[in-house]
Amino acid sequence: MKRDKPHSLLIHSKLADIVGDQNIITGELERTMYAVGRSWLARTWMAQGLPVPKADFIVQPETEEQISQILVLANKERIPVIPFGGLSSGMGGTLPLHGGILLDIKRLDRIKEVSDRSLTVRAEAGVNCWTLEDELNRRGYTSGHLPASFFCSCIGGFIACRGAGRLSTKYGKMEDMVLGLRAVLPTGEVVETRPVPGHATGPDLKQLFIGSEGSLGVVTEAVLRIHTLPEERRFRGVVFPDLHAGLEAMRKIMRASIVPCLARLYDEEETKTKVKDAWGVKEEGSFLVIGFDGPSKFVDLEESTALDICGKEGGRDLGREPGEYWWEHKYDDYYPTSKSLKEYRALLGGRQVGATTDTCASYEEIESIYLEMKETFMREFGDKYRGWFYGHFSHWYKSGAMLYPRWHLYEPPGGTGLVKLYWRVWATLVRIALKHGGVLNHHHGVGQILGEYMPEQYGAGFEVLRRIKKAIDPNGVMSPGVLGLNKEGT
Amino acid sequence: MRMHISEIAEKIAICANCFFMCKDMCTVYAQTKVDSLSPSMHEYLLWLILEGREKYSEEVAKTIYRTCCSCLLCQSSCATRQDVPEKVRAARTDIADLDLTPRPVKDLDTSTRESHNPFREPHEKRFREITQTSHQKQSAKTLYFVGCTAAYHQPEIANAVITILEKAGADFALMKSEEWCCGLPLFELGLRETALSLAQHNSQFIRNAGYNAVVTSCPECCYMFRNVYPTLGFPLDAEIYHISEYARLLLENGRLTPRKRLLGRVTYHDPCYLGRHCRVYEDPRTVIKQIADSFVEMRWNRDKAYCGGSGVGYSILYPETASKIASRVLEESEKVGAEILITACPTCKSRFSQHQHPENLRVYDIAEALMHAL
Repeated sequence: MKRDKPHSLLIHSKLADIVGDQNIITGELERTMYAVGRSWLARTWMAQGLPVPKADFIVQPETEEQISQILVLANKERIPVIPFGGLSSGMGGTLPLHGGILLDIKRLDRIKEVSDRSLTVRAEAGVNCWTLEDELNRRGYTSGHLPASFFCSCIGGFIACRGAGRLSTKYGKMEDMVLGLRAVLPTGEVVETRPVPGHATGPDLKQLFIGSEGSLGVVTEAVLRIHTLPEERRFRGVVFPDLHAGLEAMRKIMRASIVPCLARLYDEEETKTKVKDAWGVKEEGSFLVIGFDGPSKFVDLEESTALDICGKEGGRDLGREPGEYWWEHKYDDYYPTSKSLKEYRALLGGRQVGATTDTCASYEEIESIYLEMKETFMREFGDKYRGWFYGHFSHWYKSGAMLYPRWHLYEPPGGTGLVKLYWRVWATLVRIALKHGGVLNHHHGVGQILGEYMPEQYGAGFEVLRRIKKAIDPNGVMSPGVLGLNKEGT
Repeated sequence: MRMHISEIAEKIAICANCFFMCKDMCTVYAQTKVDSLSPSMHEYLLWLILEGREKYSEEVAKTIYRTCCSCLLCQSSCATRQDVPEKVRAARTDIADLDLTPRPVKDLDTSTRESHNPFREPHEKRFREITQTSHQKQSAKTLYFVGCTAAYHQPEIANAVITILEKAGADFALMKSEEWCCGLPLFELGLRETALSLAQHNSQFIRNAGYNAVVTSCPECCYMFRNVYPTLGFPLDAEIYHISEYARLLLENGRLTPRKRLLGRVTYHDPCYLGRHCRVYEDPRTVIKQIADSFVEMRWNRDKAYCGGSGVGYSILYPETASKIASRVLEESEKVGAEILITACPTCKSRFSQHQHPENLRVYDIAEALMHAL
């Protein structure tokens, strides 16, 4: 949104009245850094010398009351507001396409209360994931939430995009972890849902905000489930002759009500490349790292039952060492090294393209989605632009699983053709997921990148989302474009 | 002009492309929550400069100076052990070469050049509150290098060191009017020219005097003498000891015998330059355990210890942020029920003492704690 200078000064002054001038960032450089983050799209724009959409103001409130006042002001002045967490979004959820206020929630960072009796923690939305886990561990608990963005992202961000961590098969996704929350509505009112384990009092209001990606309000506080630290946590490696055998084994394990805390099944391609390079497992076939935690007796039983099932499906037990090593080095892959730097530089320097197109579907469909995505990607893009496609399955349910495909193209076209190709790959792959009854995304969110496909997933249901958005955010100030809602801005 | 960051371009690219893995560990980021100050983002900024898509400017300079207090805490959580302060220092050196340093940094440079300390204090006041004793002999082979903070703001620490050395029967010398700032703050702030002139002065004096041991009470002086002077071409040709290391030797050799115990629950804060930079973790603990009845570690200790917020001029340039940084250590000490917080750094002690802390928490430098026990 274009504002003239005097108007901007006026808004700045009003924001300063609310949060204090020291909590407003307006420097060109800082606004650019906030817009770019580690997003491939924004970094490519930077590399190509294209303008990056920036917020007019980055505001760092410290209280819920300040957030409420900011939203009242934004509504009055019709200024877009984009709630902002740990800068780890790869989906463009915090990209300020229409300018406005980037509402950085990270100074709401108090862990308010831990209930031993009910196993809950009440914390503000800006609390960093690692900080929360550390504080819980100190007291003998765990959140069970260990995502890749563990060290940089915050509770509000996870709630906003329905995040999942490595232990989600046992401990659940964010929507399972949140018992109750507080949120500021776009018009400034504060709503709170009761942190009860269950209710029969109409639709679950909190779920309106979980996954809303900032489009329906600002989550300020949540009560999350926590767990006592397990007596034991144990990991193993198993290798299957092929991916299909591994998928069958995992389906049967889940069906038998065995609940691994971790289960990550790599396809043959990822097994012989990344798994070999990162974790030193030199095996042909499909590698599964599987873990169990809890009382040792339970772990013994779950592990032996799971290994029996794996054996019946052709799985070969590699013992504990590869599993334990994987767990200890689970984050190593996110640190660039001299060896991996060439690819990182090309990818985040606007010369190559790649992404993750995770989805979730039933057991009837998830393997078909994987196979069709892989075959289509290699046929339409991989062969032409020299690329690879591989995937793993790492969040399991009794009724289906999540597929985490990763793709990369080494020799894409330059200039505007690069970003066009990026959109084409996304469109092609997510439509395969949709065709098979899958979803656009499992745990990274929709953001700006997948918004246009939301009507294809929801059909008539998308109109329900639009009406909810209109009712709650009548002036369309919140995160315009995110979730495919209010793309035209305020 | 060839940029200093060009020489470490690959290291910068590694951080610039990282998935923010040390972000919440970063001392400055954890207090400010300003994303552009997080290691990956400011290294991305340097990467843009290296790639010619951004230029050094006053705005860049403001970010690069504010962004890092050189605590090295980021390295302790980094799988590839990146040295972010090294990269920041290179950028600051470029900024200084281009005369884009922010005014407060220039003032610190001027103060140190003119009066040999970063506090704008007259040089002649440097030893005003330091006790003179008969053990101080210019012919001694051991030098006690007092350092700026102990000399001007914490003379009780300097006097404690002097008492310890005396009780051990050591002959030692002080540089007195010849003692200038060791130069580390200037070095880390990219003010290489001033750092070099200070290093040259101190090293020439120490070498000419023929000292074979130099004891410091400041971890920054210790690190500067031990690790940086040789790289600048000014090795001291002497053994360098932090007082915690020297005291451990004196205790082990029986030259010191503690006669009193510290009453109360004691915890120890690892100063960044003694711990992460010099890798001295056990000597202070060995000393403390000989004088404390009850010792408890803070959760974040040794290479993962929280920064005290005062290092290499950061508290002079950004006092509000430095104060918030210090509060984290005090909160940690409170969480473990400490009644006595011992550090081994005059600057950290200064910061902790100034900051509001629980009434029943006493803050000592390790030299003071040991002196009381003798």
